Amino acid sequence: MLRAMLHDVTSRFSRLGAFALTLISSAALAQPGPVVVIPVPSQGVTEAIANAIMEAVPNGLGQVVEDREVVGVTDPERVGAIIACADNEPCLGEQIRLSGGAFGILVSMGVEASTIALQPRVAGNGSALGEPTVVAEVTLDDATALQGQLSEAFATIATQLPAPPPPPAPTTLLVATNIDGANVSIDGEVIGQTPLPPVEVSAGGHTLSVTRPGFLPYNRALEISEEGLRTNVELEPDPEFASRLAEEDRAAAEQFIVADEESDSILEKWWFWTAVGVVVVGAAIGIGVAASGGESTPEGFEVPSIPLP
Amino acid sequence: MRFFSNTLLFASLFATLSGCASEGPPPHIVRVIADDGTMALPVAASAIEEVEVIIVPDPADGDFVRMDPMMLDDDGLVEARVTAAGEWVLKLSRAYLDANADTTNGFRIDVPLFTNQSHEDQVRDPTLRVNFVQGTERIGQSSPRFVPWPLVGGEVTTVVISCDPSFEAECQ
Repeated sequence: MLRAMLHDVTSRFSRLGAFALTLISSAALAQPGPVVVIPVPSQGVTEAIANAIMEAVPNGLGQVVEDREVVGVTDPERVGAIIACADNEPCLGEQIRLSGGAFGILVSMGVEASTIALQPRVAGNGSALGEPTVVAEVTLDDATALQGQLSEAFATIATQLPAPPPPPAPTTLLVATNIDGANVSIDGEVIGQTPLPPVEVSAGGHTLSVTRPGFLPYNRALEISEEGLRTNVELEPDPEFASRLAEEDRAAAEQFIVADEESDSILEKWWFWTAVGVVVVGAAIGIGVAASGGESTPEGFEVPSIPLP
Repeated sequence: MRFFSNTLLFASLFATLSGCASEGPPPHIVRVIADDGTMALPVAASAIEEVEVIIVPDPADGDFVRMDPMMLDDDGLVEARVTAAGEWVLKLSRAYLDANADTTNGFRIDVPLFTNQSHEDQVRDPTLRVNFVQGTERIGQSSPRFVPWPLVGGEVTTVVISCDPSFEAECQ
């Protein structure tokens, strides 16, 4: 299927040319990096040449070069996303990272000179790593020979790549919601319903989504440090519920005002006696506190301190 | 009319002056509200016999030091204790609720809390839960929330509690 898809893409761009993006990753990574081969427009490549590359490159991969593993990406959505990146380095770097690779190798082709350039790029920011390796005098009419040439080039690059950065340390995310039974998703993956125990995630950027029928969906980008993150999510009722509540509040307030206006005497006004009450209570508290020597302790119930571990 | 005005003015001035001289920092308010059906199943004010406010330290931190039940007020209406699991539990009795809760439009009560924990202790935010109790049953309980720790005076943590579906009849 991949071959058919690639051939289709190759055909579409064959008049313009072709280049391929290959991901190469380290076996030291927890998740070995995949390889993706994608033809996109470049100058002057014939369909025959593009097809020859597509025949050769996939067959030359799926191997371990030194201690580095080279595998392929077959997800059409990922392939499409990489094509859409074009020359956007951060975009390419992100796609390399999402594919699980520590490095990517951009494989571009010069037609008239019969050369193929392999440019390593770093996952994340997509920046170029050193000068590209150029395979000159490629034998485009012989798939087996081309495979050998590319494999040799990959081996050379693989041994030159630095050690990949360590994967982000796992940490925990705690999500609390103002109402139970809310569905929590992290990076599009459903985790469960609240209340939830701590969820193990990698440090870094994530997307948190919390939904519950009858409430507005909550979506937020999170940056989780190695120390983890604890976050409260306030779900709000959808406007239909809110308007109903507001209507009830308004009706209650109107009823209260009507009852209040029926009396003219100040002594029968609720606010008068409320004010008197507030003043009396305030004075009593003030006198009491003043008499006690002015201790600056908050009014309320004291919660003991949490002993340090 | 003038007599009332003068009285009010004098009393206000006196209260302000005497209060300012020794006013302590404001407490942290846990505002407990019974769901009126907006969030989920409603809880009637009359169904709430007790309110439990529970604070649970993060497992990475230490537990509260075990404390037998003790009354926090002279009238014996508010009880605090630390359970064997290290949870601090504040129990507000029916009489306390009758005297302090606002039931004019549903049920709402502000529970003032404070702690003397130092900011330098760097304790993780503990979890806050609130229960509505009727008899021996918890007819409603909040979803666990995190409260800033040490408690921030003057701030309000609002907790809306819905009826537990298994106690729908008791919540009426």
